[in-house]
Amino acid sequence: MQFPGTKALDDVDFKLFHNEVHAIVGENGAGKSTLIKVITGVHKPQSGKVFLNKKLVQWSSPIESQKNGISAIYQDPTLFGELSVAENMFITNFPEKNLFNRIDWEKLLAESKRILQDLNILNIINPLSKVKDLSIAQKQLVEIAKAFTINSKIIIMDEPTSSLSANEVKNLFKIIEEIKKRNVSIILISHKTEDIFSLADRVSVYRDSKYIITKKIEEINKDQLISHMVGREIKELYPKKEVNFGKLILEVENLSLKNVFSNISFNIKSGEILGFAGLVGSGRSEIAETIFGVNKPDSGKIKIEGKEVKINSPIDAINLGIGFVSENRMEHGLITNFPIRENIILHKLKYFTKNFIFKSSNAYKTTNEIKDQLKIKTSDVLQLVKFLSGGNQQKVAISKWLDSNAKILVFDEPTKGVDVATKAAIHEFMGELVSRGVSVLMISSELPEILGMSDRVAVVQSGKIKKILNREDATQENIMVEAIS
Amino acid sequence: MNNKIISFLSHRIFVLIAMIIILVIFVSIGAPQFLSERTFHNLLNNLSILAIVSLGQMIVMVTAGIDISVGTAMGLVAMSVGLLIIEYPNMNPIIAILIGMIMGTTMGFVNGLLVVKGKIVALIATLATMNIFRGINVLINNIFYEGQYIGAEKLSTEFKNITRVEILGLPIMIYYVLLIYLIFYFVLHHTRFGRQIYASGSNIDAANTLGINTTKVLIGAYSMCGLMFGIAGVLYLSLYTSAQTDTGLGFEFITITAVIIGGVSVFGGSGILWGVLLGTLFMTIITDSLNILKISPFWKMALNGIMLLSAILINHYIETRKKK
Repeated sequence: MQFPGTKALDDVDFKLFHNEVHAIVGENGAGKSTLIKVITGVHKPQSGKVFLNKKLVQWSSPIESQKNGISAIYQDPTLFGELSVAENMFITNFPEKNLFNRIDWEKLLAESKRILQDLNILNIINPLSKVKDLSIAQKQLVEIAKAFTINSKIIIMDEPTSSLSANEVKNLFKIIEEIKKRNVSIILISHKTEDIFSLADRVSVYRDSKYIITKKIEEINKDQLISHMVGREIKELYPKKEVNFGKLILEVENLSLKNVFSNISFNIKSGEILGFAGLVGSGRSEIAETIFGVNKPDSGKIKIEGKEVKINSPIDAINLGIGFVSENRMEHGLITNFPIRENIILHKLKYFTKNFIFKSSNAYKTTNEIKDQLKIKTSDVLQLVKFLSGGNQQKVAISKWLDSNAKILVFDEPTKGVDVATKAAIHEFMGELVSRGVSVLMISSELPEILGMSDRVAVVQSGKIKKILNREDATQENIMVEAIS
Repeated sequence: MNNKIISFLSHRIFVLIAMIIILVIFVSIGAPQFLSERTFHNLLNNLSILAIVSLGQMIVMVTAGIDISVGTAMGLVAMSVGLLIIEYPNMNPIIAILIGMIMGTTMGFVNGLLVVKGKIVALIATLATMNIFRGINVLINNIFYEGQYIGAEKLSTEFKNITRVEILGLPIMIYYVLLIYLIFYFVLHHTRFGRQIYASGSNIDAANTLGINTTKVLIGAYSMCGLMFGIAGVLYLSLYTSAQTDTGLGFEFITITAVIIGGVSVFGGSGILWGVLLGTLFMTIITDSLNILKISPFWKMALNGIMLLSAILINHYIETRKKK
C-alpha cells in the first residue's frame, strides 16, 4: 500500500481469533488506519493476502466485506446529518418492498428500534431524529448500532473513545462487553491505554508502517506497551519545567455567555500553565474561544497586563498577543492543500517579502529550522500538509506560534489523537514557551496530561468553574469529583 | 401544542405559502386583471415548464452540484425536436416526447461524466456544456433551417395539443407537473437511490467509505436532471410553438433561485421537493407580474439577482438560528 511520498503499510501481519477483542496500537502514521482500510476493502494492497475463515478474500469494495460480516466504525464519522438515525443505519442496505423497490419504512423503523433496544440505547437515541441534531456521543453510538444492521462477525472500531467524556466512555465499555458475548470479534484501534487494558484480550503493536509484536494483554504492562510503540523507554512523559512566575498577564472576571457559561473568573501569570479540565461539552472550549474573540461575551471583563481590553474578533486577540491552537486542526488550524512551508509562515508573510516579492529561499531556510526543532517527520517542507500524519499536522499547526510574540497561548486539546512521541514533543514545546515567560491556557480531556503539565487546574462543569486546584492538590480523583458532581 | 403550532408556522412550506399569498394580494391590488382566468392559466403554463427544469436542478443541487446548462440544453432539445418535426410533419407526438427524453438524458449524462469522472467542478463543467449546447443550437438552426426561428405554422395540431388541452378547467400542463413531482417524490424519498443522493450530497467521503457507489449516484442525478430539461424542451416547443437559438436563456438562473428559495442548501444534502415547486411558483408570479404591472423589463435582471442573494442570505440566517 503506498501513498504519495510514504509507504503506508510495509509487510504487515495481523491475526484475529474468534470472539476476541484485539487492540491495534501504534503512533500516528504507524499504518493502523490503512491496515483497517485494506481489511474492509477501501484500499487494495499491492502485495500480500487477506484470509477470512482461512479462505483467501479479495474485496473490490467495502460493500463486499460488509456482506461477509465485516463492519467498520471509522474515526471520521460516516454519518449523514440530514438523514434520520434509522436511515443512516440502513443507508447501504435499506429493507425494500417488492413493488418498485420502495423502502419499507415500517420494517426500517422496527429493525432500527430492535437494534437500538438490543444495545440498550433506545432510551437515549430516537431512530427518527435527524443525525445533525445528535451529540457527538450519540453519533458514536449510532455508528456502533450500524454495525448490527448486518450480521457482523468482525467489528472494527477506530478510536471509539476519542471524542467522548469519561461517563460516555464507561457506557461505551459496557456496550462493548455486551457485544463480545455475541460471538463477535472486535478490532480496537486506540491511543488510550485505559481503553486497551480494560477491553482488549490481545494487543498488536505497529510502528513506522511495520508489524512489531502481538501479546496477550496479561503478558504486557503499560510501560512495555509504550516502549514497543516508540521503540525506546520513555521515562519522562511530562517534562515539567521549573519556571518562576512573573506578573499577572491575563485576568478574566465574571465572564458570561448566555446558555453556555456564566461568571467565569480566573487569572494566569507569566510563565504559568493553567489547565482546564472537565467533561466534553462542559463549556471549556467556548470559554477559550470567547477570550480569543470568536464569541462575544454577554458580560464580564478581560484584562491583559492589568489593562481592560475589548476583544471583538480573533484579529483583535492576535494583536493583543493571544494565540490559539484549535482542537480541530483540519478546520481551523491548517490549510491542508498547502505545503508545510506556507502553513508555517502564512501569518507572517510580510517578513519574507521584499518589495512585494516573496523570498522563497529565506522562507525555506526558516521553515527547515522549525521543522528540525519540532521534529516534523517529512521528506521536504514543500510536502503538502494533507499527506502528513495527524501528529505531524498538529506540530505544523503549533509551529505557527513558535517565534510569534504571543504572550498568552491557548491550547485546545493539543495532543488529541496524536501518538506518544508527538505528544512528548508538544509538551516539551509548551515547557519552552513558559520558560520564555508565555502564559498558557491548556484545555485537555486527558487527566494525566492535565496533571503532568498544569501549575494550576481549573475544573469546569456545566459552564461554571467549580474549583481551581493547585498542582500539589490536584489528583485524578478530586478533579473527577468536581467535574462530575 | 403551542410548540407544535410555532414549529408549523416556522416550517418553510408554510412560510412559502404565506409569502405567495402576500405577493398575490399585492400584485392584484396593483393590477386587478392579475386575477383573471386567462392570466391564471398563463401563469400555470409558465410555472409548469420552469417547475420541471427546477426539479432537475434540485436533484443536482442536493448532490452538492449545480447545472447551469439546463436553459441552453432545454433550448437545444426544443430546436432539435422542432427541426425533426419539420422534416417529418406526421411524427407521433409521443415519439417527439421520447426523443426529447432520450436527448435530455444523454446530455445530462455527459454533464455527469464530466463532473464525476472528469473531476471538473460542476460550475465550470456545465458552463462549458452550456456554451456547447447553445453553439450546437445555432449551428443546426443555420444548417437545417437557414437560421430562421421555428414558428407555430410548422407544428402539427396533434403536437400542439399535447399542451393545449384543459382538464377540469385547468391546463393539462399542471397535471404533467404534478405527475412528474409525485414520481420524483417517490424516487427521492422512498427509494434507496433517492436516499443515497441525499447521503452523497451530505458527506461524499463518508458515502464512499461506506461503499455507496457515488459515481453511479451522481451521474444518475445529472442524467435525471437531463431527463427533466429534455421533457421541458419538448413541452416548451408545443406550448409556445417556438424554438429559437436563444430559447431557455436565463433558465439556469431562475431555476437555481427557485430551488434555493424552496429551501435546498447550496452545500447539498438537504431539501424537499414541494418547497422547490412553491419556490418556482413564487418566481413565476414575480416574473409574470412584472409584465402585468408594466414594470420595465430592464428591472428584471437586477431584481432576479437580488432575489437569489436574499434567498441565500435568508437560508444562512435560518440555518445559523437553528444551530443556536
